[in-house]
Amino acid sequence: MRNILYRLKRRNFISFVSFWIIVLLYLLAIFADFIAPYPFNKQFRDYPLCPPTKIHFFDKDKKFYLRPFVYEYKLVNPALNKYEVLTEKICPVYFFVKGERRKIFGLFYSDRYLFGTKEGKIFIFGTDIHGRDIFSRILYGARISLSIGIIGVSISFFLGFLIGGISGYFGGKVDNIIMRIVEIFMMFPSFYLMLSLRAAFPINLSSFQVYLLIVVILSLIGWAGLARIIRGMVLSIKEEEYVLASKALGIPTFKIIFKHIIPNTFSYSITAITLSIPGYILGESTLSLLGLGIQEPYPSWGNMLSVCIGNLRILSTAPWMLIPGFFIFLTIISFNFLGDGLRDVLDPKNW
Amino acid sequence: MEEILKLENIYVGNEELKILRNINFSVKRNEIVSIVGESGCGKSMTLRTIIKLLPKNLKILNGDIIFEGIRIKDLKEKEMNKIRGEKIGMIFQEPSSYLNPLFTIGNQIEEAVRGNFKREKRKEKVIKILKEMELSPNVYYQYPHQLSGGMQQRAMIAMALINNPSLLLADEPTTALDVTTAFGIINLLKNLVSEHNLSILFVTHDISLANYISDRIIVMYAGIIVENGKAKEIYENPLHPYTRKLIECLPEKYKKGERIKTIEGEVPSFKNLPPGCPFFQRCDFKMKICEERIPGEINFENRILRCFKYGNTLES
Amino acid sequence: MEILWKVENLKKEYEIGTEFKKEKIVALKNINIEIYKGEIFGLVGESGSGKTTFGKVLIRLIEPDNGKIYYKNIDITDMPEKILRKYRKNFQIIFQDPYKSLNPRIRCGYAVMEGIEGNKKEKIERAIEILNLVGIKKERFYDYPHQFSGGERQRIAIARALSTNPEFIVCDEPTSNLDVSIQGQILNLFIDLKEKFNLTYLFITHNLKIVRFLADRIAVMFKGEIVEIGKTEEIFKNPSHPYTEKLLKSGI
Repeated sequence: MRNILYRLKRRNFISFVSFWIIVLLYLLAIFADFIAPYPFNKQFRDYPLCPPTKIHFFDKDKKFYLRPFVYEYKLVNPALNKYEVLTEKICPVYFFVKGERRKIFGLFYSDRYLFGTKEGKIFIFGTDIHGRDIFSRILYGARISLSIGIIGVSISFFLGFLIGGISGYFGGKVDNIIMRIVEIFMMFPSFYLMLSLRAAFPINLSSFQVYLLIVVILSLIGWAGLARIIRGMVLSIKEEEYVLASKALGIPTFKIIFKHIIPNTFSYSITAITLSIPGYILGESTLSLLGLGIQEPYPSWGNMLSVCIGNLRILSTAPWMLIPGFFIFLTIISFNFLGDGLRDVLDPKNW
Repeated sequence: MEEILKLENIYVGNEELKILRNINFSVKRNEIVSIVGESGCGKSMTLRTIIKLLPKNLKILNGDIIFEGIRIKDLKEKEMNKIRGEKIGMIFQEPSSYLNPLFTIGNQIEEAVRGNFKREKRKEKVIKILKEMELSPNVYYQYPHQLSGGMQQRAMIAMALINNPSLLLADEPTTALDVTTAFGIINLLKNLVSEHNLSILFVTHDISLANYISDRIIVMYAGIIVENGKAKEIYENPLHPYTRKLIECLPEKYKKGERIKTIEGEVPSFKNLPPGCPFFQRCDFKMKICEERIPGEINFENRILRCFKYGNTLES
Repeated sequence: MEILWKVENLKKEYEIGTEFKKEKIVALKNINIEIYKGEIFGLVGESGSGKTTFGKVLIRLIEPDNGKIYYKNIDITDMPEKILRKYRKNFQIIFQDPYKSLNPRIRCGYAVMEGIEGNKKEKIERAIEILNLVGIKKERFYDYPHQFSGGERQRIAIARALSTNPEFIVCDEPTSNLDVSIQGQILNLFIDLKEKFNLTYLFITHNLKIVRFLADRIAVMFKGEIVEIGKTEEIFKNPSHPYTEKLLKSGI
């Protein structure tokens, strides 16, 4: 693993950077409870559509403070969403600050936050129409979006490998039947299939149920294309001379499959995995955007964007509402670059 | 006899690598000259240099190429294109890679015809040359995949010769073919020389084949020409230590139970060329000077050699 | 002379084409051969003759359609793979293309170790020993195939074939992709190993010069059939089948 990272850094620096961006995003998601200054559903009614809080080191008299601070914001014009910055009061930002008690990882209680203010509010990405801190919601939303990507892909790939591998290795009638089934799955346009499958279930499921449903739907759509490609690779690798040589040595079949055939599909499959994850993230985002996915008050990057649809008022006065879109973009592009770099690194000719 | 082609002091490479070094030889009219060497010696590169189809990262660093009296090294692409296919033809090792699977043979050969001819006249020319290649005129309507390897190669030769060039460059055209098929093609090429007033520059790794088909043999090793002389003479009496070893390696020279004499070691890569004679490491006759300097061209017994064993000329 | 292999009426067909238009290609029509222990049996033919197919079918890497294969008088034609596996260590194969016969992801030492039994330490020691025998130094044990030259890769393939202590090796055009100077080295190696381990070879090639030098007896194949079989020198001096004549005439 360390080897792969090292090679990635040398051969494709963007890839290397992308890897760490992805790691950072997942860490933010995992530790959302701790990092987010506010709970995702806490509404600050005095601060609807508040712009991102600026962080200062110099006050209006140009005095330097070692500890960063923010100013208080006051809503002066609700119609136009205008806020006034009160530059009289210095509200320092504290780290490991005490705040409201809440559960971390759903296991234990804590009242410590990574950062926060004792007076004033720190909305790094501003607030939404209900006065909820967007930064905190992005962190919690990351949990949904990023986890669905990984879990969905894992299931798809497991299915794809298993079915594609069996089909490719045994060939003949088995192969024929399995491939026809795969083709039936691939026939449906994935987007519409996704919508139909979701619509087949009641709209008002609990969020956890919806989450599982989305994962299952996405995996069911995704495995077929993979199975077909894995099957093709297995078919050709099976005839390679080094596989025949192993057979001649008397190596049992399953050992040949695991030692020779499957690793030689990695160059394609690992890159395909990293390049598919964005698809799953987008799938969830789209469902949530259309109101069929994760429901309020639970945040997902998709449903955070759904408010912006067709809403000119928000778009013109509160552009920070689009930040979840940026995160979707960042995640997808990082996975793309990572996949690119991995494809290079996993080629044994480059070892 | 007049010279069709002459290479003078050709160096090919780039800042990091020198692939061909001081290549000097000529080809006369109606002569078949073979360039013999193992993989990585630069023989294919020599052909590509003559027809000026070098890979992007390599160029002719020095020297000149004179074809039918014209210096072609600095010729512009447009002018060079008039020569390619018309005055110089080329055939390659894998005919299936060089024939477009989507078009009929007739179509492809016609495409190569130069000059403004009416449709019927073109077709006539193509059918005529197909017959010369001992192919049935039906081949005109067939696709490459419908032909055997030998027939594909004949089709490619037809393409190369349809405009009656004076020089044919052949890059291992029979290596990928069966023995009996290859035999037919080799004999065909020999006949074409007199019928078409053709000269052939034939690249191969098989020195026995070179002896069978050619008038002269040029032996290359790691980018330099080490021996150049009459084919039979070289085959029966090789002078350069490398050529000697090449002949000694042939299994037909041994009886059952004997061990074949081999050359220890491997051909040096172009990235790691030694300062002196490239064959130094593997040579049985090495002397101190061989490690330090590259031997220059020596005329010895009607042959051109680069070897300090036969003289003290240094590389200029 | 002990008969190592006896093949009777061996047939192998292939089907190619789409669901709509299938074509049958007969790779092996009706092969009858005996191979004696201790000899080098040359199998000569051009492309499409079926010689490579025969090599793979003989040791059941490909299943025959009809006929019988006897190894030391044991009928292995329909033997289930589980039982056959125990016999497999006795007959190994070396392929033509040294670039394709090694798994590019597996280090050369491990590739040779694959067929050896014992604990890890024993396996490594034995692998180093065999690699040494074929001329690969132990410092290169952990190198990957692409770090070796063609000739060296072929040596590794030979080492892998030797790892199970076989008594018979199918050599499928092992020197066709190698330079002339390397070819000699590998052929010498074959002869040395044969003497050292009392091996029997089925040497498949299209190169008449090599087969004349190496083989004790040869069989000439043409379009799936054996057209001539006998002692090497006799066939070269007095070919009886017209195809053999044509073949010999083409050998320059």
